[in-house]
Amino acid sequence: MSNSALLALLRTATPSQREAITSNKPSIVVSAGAGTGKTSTLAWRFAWLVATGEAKCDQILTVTYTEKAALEMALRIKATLRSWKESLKATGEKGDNLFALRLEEAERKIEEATISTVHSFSMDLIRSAGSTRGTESHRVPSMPEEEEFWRSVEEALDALDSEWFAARLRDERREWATLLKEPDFLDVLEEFGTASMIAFARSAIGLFSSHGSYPDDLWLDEAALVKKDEALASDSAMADNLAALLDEGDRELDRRFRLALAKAAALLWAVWETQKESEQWLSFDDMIRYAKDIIEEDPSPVRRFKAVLVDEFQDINGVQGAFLESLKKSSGASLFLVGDIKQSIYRFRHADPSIFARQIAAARDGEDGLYVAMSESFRTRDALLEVINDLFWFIWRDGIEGRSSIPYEPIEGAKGAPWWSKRCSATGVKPLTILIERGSEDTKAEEEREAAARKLGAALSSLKGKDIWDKEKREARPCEWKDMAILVPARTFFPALERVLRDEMRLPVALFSGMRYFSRFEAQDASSLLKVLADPSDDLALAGYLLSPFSKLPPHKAIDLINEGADNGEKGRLWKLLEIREPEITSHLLSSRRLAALEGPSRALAALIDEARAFYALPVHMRTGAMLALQRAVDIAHEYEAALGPSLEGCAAYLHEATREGLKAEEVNVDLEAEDAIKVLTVHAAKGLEFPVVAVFGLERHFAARQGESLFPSIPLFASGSRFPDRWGQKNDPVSKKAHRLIEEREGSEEWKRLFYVACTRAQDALLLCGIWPKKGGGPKEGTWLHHVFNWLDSKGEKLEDYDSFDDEGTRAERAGKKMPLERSVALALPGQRGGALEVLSATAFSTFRYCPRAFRLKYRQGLPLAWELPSEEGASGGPELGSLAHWILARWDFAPESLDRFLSKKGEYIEGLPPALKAPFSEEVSRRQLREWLSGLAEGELGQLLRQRLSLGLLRREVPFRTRVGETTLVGIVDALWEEEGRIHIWDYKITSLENAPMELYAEQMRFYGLAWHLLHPGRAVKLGLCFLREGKTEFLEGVDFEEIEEAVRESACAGANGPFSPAHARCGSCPWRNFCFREAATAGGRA
Amino acid sequence: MRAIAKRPAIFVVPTDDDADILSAILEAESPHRERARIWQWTDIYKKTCEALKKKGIRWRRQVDPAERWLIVQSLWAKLSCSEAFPPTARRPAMVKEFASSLRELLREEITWETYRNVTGCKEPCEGGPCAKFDEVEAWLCWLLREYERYLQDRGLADSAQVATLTRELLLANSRRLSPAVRRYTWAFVGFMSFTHGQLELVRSLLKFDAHLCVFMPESGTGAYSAADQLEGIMKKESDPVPPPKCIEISGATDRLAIETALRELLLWSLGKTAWEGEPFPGWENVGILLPQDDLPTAKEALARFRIPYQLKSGLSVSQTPFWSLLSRIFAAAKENWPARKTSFLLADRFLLGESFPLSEAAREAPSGEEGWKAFLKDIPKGVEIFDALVSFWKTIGDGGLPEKLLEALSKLIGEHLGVLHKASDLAGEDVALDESVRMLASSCAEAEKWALEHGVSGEATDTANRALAGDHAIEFLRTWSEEAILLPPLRRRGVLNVYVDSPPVLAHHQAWVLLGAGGDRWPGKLRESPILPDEQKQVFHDRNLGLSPTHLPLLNERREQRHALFRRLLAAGDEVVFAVRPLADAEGHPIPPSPFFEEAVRVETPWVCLARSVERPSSRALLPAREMRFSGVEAAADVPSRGRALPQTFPPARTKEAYLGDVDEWKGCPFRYAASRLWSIKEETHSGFDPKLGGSLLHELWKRLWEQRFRSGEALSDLVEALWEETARSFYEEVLSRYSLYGRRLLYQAQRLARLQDSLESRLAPLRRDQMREYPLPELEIDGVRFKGRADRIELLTDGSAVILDYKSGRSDSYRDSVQLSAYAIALEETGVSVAGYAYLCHKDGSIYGHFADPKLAKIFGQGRKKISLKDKIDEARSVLESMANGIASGLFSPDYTSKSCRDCGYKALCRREEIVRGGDNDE
Ligand code: SF4
Repeated sequence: MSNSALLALLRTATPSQREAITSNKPSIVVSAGAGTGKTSTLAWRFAWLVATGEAKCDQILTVTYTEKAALEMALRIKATLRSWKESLKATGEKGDNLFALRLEEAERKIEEATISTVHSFSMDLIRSAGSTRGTESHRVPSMPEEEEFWRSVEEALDALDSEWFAARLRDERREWATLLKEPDFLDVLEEFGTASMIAFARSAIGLFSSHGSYPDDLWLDEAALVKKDEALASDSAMADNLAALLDEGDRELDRRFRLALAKAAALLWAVWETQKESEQWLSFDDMIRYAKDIIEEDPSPVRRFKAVLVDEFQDINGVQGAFLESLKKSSGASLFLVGDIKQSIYRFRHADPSIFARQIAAARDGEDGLYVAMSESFRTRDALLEVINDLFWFIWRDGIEGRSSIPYEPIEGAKGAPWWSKRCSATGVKPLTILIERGSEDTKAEEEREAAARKLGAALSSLKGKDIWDKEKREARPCEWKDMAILVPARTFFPALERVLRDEMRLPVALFSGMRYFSRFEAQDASSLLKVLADPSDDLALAGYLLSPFSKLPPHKAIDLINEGADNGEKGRLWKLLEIREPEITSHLLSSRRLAALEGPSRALAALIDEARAFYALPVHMRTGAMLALQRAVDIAHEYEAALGPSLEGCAAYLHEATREGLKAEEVNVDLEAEDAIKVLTVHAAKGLEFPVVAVFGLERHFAARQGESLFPSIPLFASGSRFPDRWGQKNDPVSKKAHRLIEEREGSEEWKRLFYVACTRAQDALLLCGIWPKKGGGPKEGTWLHHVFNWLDSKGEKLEDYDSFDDEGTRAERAGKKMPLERSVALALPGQRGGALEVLSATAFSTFRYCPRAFRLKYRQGLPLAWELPSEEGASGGPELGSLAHWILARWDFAPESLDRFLSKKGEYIEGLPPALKAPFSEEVSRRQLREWLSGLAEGELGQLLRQRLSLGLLRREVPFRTRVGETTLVGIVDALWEEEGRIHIWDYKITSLENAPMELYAEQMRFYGLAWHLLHPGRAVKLGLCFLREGKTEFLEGVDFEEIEEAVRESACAGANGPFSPAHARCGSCPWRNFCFREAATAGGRA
Repeated sequence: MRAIAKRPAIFVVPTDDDADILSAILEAESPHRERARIWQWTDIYKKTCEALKKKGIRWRRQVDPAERWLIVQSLWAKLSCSEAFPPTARRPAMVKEFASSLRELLREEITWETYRNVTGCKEPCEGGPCAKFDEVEAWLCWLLREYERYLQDRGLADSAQVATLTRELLLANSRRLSPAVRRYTWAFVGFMSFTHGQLELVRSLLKFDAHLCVFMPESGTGAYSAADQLEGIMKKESDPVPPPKCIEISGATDRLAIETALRELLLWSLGKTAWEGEPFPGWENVGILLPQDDLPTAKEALARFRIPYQLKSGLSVSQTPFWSLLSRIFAAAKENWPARKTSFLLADRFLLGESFPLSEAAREAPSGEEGWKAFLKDIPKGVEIFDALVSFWKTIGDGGLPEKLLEALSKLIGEHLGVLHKASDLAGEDVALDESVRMLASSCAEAEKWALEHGVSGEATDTANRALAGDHAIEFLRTWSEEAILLPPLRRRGVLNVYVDSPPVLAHHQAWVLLGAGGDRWPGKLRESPILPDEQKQVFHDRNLGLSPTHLPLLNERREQRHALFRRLLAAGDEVVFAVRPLADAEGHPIPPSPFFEEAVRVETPWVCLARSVERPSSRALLPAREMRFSGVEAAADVPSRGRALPQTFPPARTKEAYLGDVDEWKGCPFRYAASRLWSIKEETHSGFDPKLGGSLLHELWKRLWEQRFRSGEALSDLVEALWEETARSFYEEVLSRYSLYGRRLLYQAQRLARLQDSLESRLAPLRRDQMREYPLPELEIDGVRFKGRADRIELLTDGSAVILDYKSGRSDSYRDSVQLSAYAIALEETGVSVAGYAYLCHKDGSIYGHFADPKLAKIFGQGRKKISLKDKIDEARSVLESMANGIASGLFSPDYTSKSCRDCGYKALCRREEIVRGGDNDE
């Protein structure tokens, strides 16, 4: 069977794509330049493997970088399988049927294919190997769990609590706790503080674990460090520079410093490992490490794989690389790696592009490998490509990724595509525009930034309505706001852009920010609220809440209150004042507080979302964001509760600390595609996206090694810091700091170029580059994008200004047309809803409700164990259990005094069947004696005789359940004793309370209920109701029951019992059997108020 | 349904809830008949036993899930105690896995003998576990045998065995029982498929010639169903019904999806739907099914729209506040009562509440049993409550019989901590909170009940007599809490019905809302059982070729079962069904649509008819004004703002007094100044070491040092050590103990600054006429505002001029912009003293920053030439003071959002910085 039919399906592919897709080399590495159809290539490769029978769909592992990409990839693969199948069916020869069948099967079974991120694939391996490795319930810790752990470390470190550490170290590592007594360590800790030390350790853990190291690798001694340093100075690419640097300063001291730091990191890492172990937590690197161990030990779970396809390979880190290696080894699968080293921009997540570089080299040189560079772009039109190629050819004239010197591979337009030439000529915008703002001596940096933003705004406005290419429809159309994106190297540029574009020029913009959720005011306000709820006397939190839009108090009123309270210096005064001035707010807060205490802090936060009024105080452009941010706060509270319990105080503290320290957490963003607005986003966030018009803003920015960190980890140097501890009396900076900076600068500025490449290649039709020319002479700072652009043009004898022109016509017109007509608002009133009656009402529930609605609430709605507390009767015992035991016997006994022994002696034959709950009262001698007394009394009395007789006639029924209906409610209950005689139903109920203390009203209601029920069940018959008081052997009859009246009462109670109110019936308190319980309630409540 | 037979009928249903539903259906069909016989499998078993009581057949009581765990746990412990046993497998978590595999086998009637036959094991294994320590298969084999024997020996049964036991009895006593069996029509209602045991029982009923009918839910999928199982034996009885209309709803998040579904319902109830709907059937006829995780969010949304509802599913104790409180106690106890965790625990309203001094606890950070007792001794009830926790933890640690553990637990929560009373009290007048109270109370009652039932009457099982301690005890309590199901609240009419996780098979409503209908759950991640993997199951299937082969479902069959279930759930809506899903999970990972759903709405063979799709992306978190929304609880996205801004001017200060020392604060940000100084809102102090207190300790130290120096003439640096401890003890004792790290640093800094001053002293002393410490500066009045101040130290020189000195804890370069001492200078000069200069003595870097008029004097203080002269500095101070006076008098306290003080400012929520200049300047 020939593959020609399949090859025909690839006719739209470029030759290089085809080469890669159809290759049968075991190791294929594809460099896919920006816009060259990476996803299609992978999907095609997948379909190819399936169709040719090289692998079934569950034998292919497809690895993507994000979950979102995995989902898209799955859809893409499915679509490809289907379209190939259909084309084959439609056009194929007979012999192609097999291909179609294979594709069809794969499409049907696509869910069995593994298309996921490397992390979720690893997690699956871990879970399924759970039973033998004990990892079935391992998981990634939530943010609050992790933060709480590090807080406890801080607590222990603050107190130099070496026992705490020792308790968390295993085996040989237990020794490590002595670090807390070592002077060098103490000096460093004292100098930089515990918080910095922890921040340092956490980043060291991240860095080193991503390289596959363990805590022990950081627990070094001097000799080991010396050795490492020597190795570093001899084989690094910068050996000379480094060696020279290291010779400059005090190397001895420097090593002591680094040793102390490395050990500190090792120690904290070790306790973190213990914590993870005991809580069954995994870090992301752990996942991969565990998974690697699993398949190395027993490769069976991965043996089925015949092919592994990996996307975004340039972003892989050390552990992931090693895992893929061992996956390949254990499964024998072929590898198909796709990536673009020029787009590797995740150094901060420890991505290591050199892994890719090595793979490329191996594929190129090795027998088994194939290296393909895909360079045909389906994204960017030729004119712009020319510019980009020219620019980056210049920037990377010495090769990409310094060490490996890979040459820049230019991107070409997809000339083979029939629509390409139309695409290239359809656009009515200039490919490249350069906008440079030149500040004057007395302008501030921020002003210059705003001026640049203004320029950019004008340029973008002028582009609106010009023709651009619609990639989906493959035709030209006028450019809209949503076709434009402004990419910035860092979020620092956001405020200026927002101020100018949105507030000043009134252009629609949507900002996509990164990880600063906790700095948002909504997060702060949520935190203020929780703090107030936890402690109303917290003036700062209360003032914050009052000033927030969510208190609905106008700010000037809040300020007045705050000012008014100022004279009185005591804590909690603001609350007191608020109680007087704005009682509605305090009572609202108090009820939120109760809500939070009973149902968790998240519930109290959720109530914030419900207040439409608060949102109207916010300007329109902030409103949706505010809503999302608050919803996020609720989710964070949920997360906290799930991890650490619904503690109001704990959650308040967590949220507060998170906002105070600006913990990193994903921002809330509205969906990228949804709005017709200019998107503003960081280059990182734009990765994988494309836009017709792209403006790169902030060309003047220089790569800056992370600032503000006093201590930092480093792979070659282990660690260093910004200065030595004061005590060491060394004023010079540590040499390792300089060395670190040297390395950082070199790698960082390499990445800075790649970041620029990613930014520029997002553009389909037009690219705008915007920057600020430095005030000081000497031109743009080296390493800035502006510097590159300037030099590039210079090398061609051109000037920046040559590219600085745009048509500014549209702007004013746009501005004029900006006012949107307001549409009519459609607001519905929230219907006041009330549920219906109780579905079921029992005799006891009914009588309790009638007796006292509050008692009903406590017992039936709150489920409290309302103990029946009677005034002490003679003989002491008489609790509810005794009553139940009496009833149990009465339901079985033949009312003959002589047979009482069978029930009441310890060897009685009935004892075996006694329900567990009755064993306790039975075991008491007193109770049994008392019961014997009562029951023989009954047997001797008139009622006893009657009962015995009816029983012998077979008339008597005992413990008779009934079920009937009034309205929507089913009435249920169990009658103690019942018989029918002469058309009359006799109903009896036994009581053990003394007549004198009996809550007769309660009993009466219960009997009436029985009466009604039997009346309804047997409408024709009369009902006679009797109560039997066992203690005294007396009986009482209930006369003159009005069934209509009682039916009405049942209806009412069924309704009120479901919906309230449940006001106490104070008149009955005196004789209420639950008064002790209830008064205790009242007392605590009163005590609090 | 009643009409099915001429004979009286026995209905057999899967669960209690199904029984309720069926009885309601039957009652509606013929209201006045007596209640129908609605049984479950166990009832058949029980009745069979009763009928055979005379023959001496004893009913084998079924163990409850917690008991089952105890039994398997004890067997597991026996198995895994051997040295050779792999330690990773010794985890308590394994017990649960094994228990579920054992049940899977029993349900399929795979007894130990069958198991052994199929695996072909020839090892001798009587009298103790076999020696195959590294084989999961062997563990299961042994456990199966022991479990069966254990139950049998004690007259107990697992519910998975019930059908089998019944059938065995029926067959062994067929003559005796057949009239009774034949008397009835047996109607099996609501079984998607039967387990092997059940199926065999049904077949054996047929052998009795009983009249049988099976009402089974259809799913229209290829899943192996009751119909397939009974193929050839019975004919199907089901009427085709028209597919319900389906509304597909998706939201960016869980919350948005749920809210959208509820508001659609609400709009429908008001006759305002945007789709062609049936008339709203009333809340009573609407059901919602939601996954447990969504319950909190759903509750929030229901409260928001004030939709009356009731929970129809009982939650387990583990899902109540009872368990979360307990988990927090365990978490704190396990770590020996660490400061933070224990503080939050004790501050909880169920424990000490307001009487617990949280901020004091944050400062003192007590920990451990003793530490806490000392801390709590003066707090009412403090020690009592803490003791209750400690002694409960001790009970857990020492171990006890399961019933004792549960008793202790219920006592702890109900009595010792008084949680129930506190909760009821908290609910106050708010009846909406009653349910939370009930959750606590019923959990307590449930614990008590278990203890009672298994305590006094626990003779039947001796596992209950095995004491459990530590982790095992906790694991037992956890298992119990997961298995103890509480009753749902009192049922009401006319309200929306909410089901959690899985509804009874028979549940159906006119309108039905299926939440969480995305691909993450349907089918979701299905995994093979680690103990009984598919490969192993296949072996059973292949080798066990009896007439009716047992069948342990494989992964793809489980997927098909999920598919069938999904369809049943869609079909639980008689007329309308809402299929609701979020587009992303809590971590923001996208959730694809369910393939089952896509298939169900496929036009060629619709299971449900897709009528409309509603999407709620995050950009529509608020809806535009033109769309319908509920006033008060839903804001429109685009109605113009009513506006809201911090006032431009504030009320003028109520005092005309200010401190010169605050001038830098003012200069940094007037708003900050007003908040801290005028409105006296205290900035929050961090927990742990208090740097402010550390600062005043140093000030005091310097005062004492100089006094001593003048008294004895010794060098400062020689005195520091001696005075340190005593000063620290009287000012901030903790720097000598708990915060010794900080003490060490303070002492070091003091020593360093002492040395610096000593070296200065040799040059300064000859010029000194006098030294004043803590010197009250003359009052300075500007525009009616009186400025006061106190200088740390003033050196009066022989030429009559003065040098002002101040101790600072910061670093010298941070005082470049300070005008504090220049302001002091102005005040001092008022009295005619000429100020020759000033300097900040900075602890953090042990150096000095100052301005001097005379370069020679500057040199003495080690200061080089400065760009700005002393005079300039003083002028600057004057103008700052003037603006300050003006501001104080007229309320000009605008925040300076570009101020350096913003970085660590605690007033951000007050000045609304983030609301106004969003984004700020801090970078990622
Ligand atoms: S955050 Fe900045 S602007 Fe706001 S009060 Fe503090 S210092 Fe002033």
